[in-house]
Amino acid sequence: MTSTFFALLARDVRVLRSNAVTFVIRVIMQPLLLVFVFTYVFPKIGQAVGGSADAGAFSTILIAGVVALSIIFQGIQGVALNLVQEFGYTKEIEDRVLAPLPIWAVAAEKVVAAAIQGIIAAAVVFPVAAFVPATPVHLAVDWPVLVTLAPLAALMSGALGLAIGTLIPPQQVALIFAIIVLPLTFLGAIYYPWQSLHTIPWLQYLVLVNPLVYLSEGFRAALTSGVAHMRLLYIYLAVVGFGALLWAVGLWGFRRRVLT
Amino acid sequence: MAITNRAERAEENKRPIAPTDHLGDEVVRAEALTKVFGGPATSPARGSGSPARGPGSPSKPIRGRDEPEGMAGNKPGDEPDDTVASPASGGSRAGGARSDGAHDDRTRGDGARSGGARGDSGASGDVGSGAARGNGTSAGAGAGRAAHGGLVAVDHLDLSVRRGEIFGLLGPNGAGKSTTIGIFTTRVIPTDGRATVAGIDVVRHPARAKRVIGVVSQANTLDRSLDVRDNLYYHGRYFGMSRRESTQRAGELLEQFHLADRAHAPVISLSGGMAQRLMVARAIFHRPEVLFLDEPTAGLDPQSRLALWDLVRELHAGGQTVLLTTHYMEEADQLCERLAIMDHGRILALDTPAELKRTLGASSEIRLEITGDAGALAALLAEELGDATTGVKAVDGAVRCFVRQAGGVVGPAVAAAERAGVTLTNVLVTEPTLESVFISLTGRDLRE
Repeated sequence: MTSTFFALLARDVRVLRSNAVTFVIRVIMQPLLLVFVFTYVFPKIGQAVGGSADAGAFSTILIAGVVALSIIFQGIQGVALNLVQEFGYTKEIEDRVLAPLPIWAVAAEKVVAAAIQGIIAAAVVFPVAAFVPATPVHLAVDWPVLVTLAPLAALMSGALGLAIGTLIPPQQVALIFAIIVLPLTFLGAIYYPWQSLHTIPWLQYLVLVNPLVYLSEGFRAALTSGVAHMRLLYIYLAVVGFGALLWAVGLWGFRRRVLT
Repeated sequence: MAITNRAERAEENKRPIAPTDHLGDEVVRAEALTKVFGGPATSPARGSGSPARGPGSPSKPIRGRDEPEGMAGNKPGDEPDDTVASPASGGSRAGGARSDGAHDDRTRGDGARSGGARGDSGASGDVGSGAARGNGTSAGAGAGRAAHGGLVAVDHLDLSVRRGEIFGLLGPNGAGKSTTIGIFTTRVIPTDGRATVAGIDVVRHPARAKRVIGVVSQANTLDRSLDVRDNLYYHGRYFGMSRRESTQRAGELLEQFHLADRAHAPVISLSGGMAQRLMVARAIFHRPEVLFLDEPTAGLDPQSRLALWDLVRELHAGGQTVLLTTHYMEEADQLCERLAIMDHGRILALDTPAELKRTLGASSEIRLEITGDAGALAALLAEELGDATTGVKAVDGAVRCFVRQAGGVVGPAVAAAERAGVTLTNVLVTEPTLESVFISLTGRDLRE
């Protein structure tokens, strides 16, 4: 069974390698534009972003959010969009569903493949952060947090992708952007620490249903010092909890799609 | 009006397949296999953690929505397949499902046995002669439902396929063929009953069962992200072959299936016939005990169809067990050693193609294509021709008479048509085909 699992993974890595150029474009565009506009253009034109005049602090805050966003996007792009397509009109997932594995393991492989892409996408943010911003980015890496949180975050994002990919009907892919990607992004504590929302209490508590909040906060804890963040315990609990929930939903959806 | 005799042509289509006496032990088995779509499950599927069905309205027609989603797609231009509205209730049983066969008595009595659910169907045009089959099988009974509101796609099916055999499920779209194959290939969870492949219960042990099956489904399910060779190579890897072994076998099969020159082509560039060959190559790559082919030639051009038949025969000669579905009677006739004729989720008859045709008791079929009241003409013919016929059926604007001897009957039949006041547009005299058998069993033709 493990050999089958790794063969499925090898297939996905093979596909990723042969699509290396488009993959790199896919993972680099979003952090590049975010970082470029918010940490290069805005400071240059004197636009006040980040509340205070401390543009450097804003850049630092933003980078952690961008890492989180990049990971979660790979879950959606790497799994959800693929699955929508494979379940929808191409049916080509069938050969993998017929591989000698339990169905849950086939789904798990999808999640792991997405997690690998998520980690790569996160890694891409760092060189972007090093070269693009006009104002200095002060990263203070907490390695134990980073190396434990990043894989968990990537797996959770893969599970999110599985859930989305199996629940959204193929004809309604556009919905993914309207009802998932946009709220996730704009209310994901990417541009501001979650605690700074305390001036809008209802929003501060509402956004707690957004898993990206915990990833942003977590990477803020892992990459910055002196920036307020949620307690690490809550972050880990939330990432694992959301991961488990999304995995359960995703697996249910996957079974529903491949079994009758 | 033209009189055509197709007997000669039929004579040329001799089946090259050897009879079944070389066959070994049983390798595929179904016992009382039942699949009900929608509605509450009569008894939960064993060993399945999966919900029988997502939220949805049980009253809606099951086509499409309830098929193995993402799996049982159809080739372009093909009819939507196989989900069935069977009028039979959960308690009814197919009569002729045993392997000894399709003998008249058993299939005839069927309607009576399956009880009230079907009593209203009134087989249209089933007039019958002295030897008429009284099966009340519904003709176009449409969306019949099980007592509890579900739709019965497979209804207490018993089946046994022996090692080395090419076994066919023949029936119209919606007969339950693909659902049956779906169960054997672990993608459809049966509502009740038992299915085994090579002794492995496919419901309890799907992952183990997948090792011993090879599947070619109706849709093109090739991996579009990989080239032709890698579709085979990675398939081998999924089944635990080493890199070297998988590479070597991919090379061999590309040669055998005449795809070697396309090894590095993207699969979307393949023609329909080539794609189908590659799917077969992939399905047998891991040397499965049983190869399942679901409508393998639907949507293929005639030449590719013949090529695929040859391929299947070649695999059969190598000892491969094959279970296929088809709604092409020629395919069933040419390819299969034994056949189960299916309708409404049940097996109506099961035997060798030759034996099935023999059970008609007729040497010829006279088909009168008319405009006018086919039912009335059928009644008249049944009366006039008397013992010369073994059955008269009105189907789809034509009347079919199964006769012991065509000589001396064609004239009176035509004369009767003139007298009945219908307009004859064509008269054909043919050898009985499997379609004749299907019509005689159901009162409908395969294309409906």
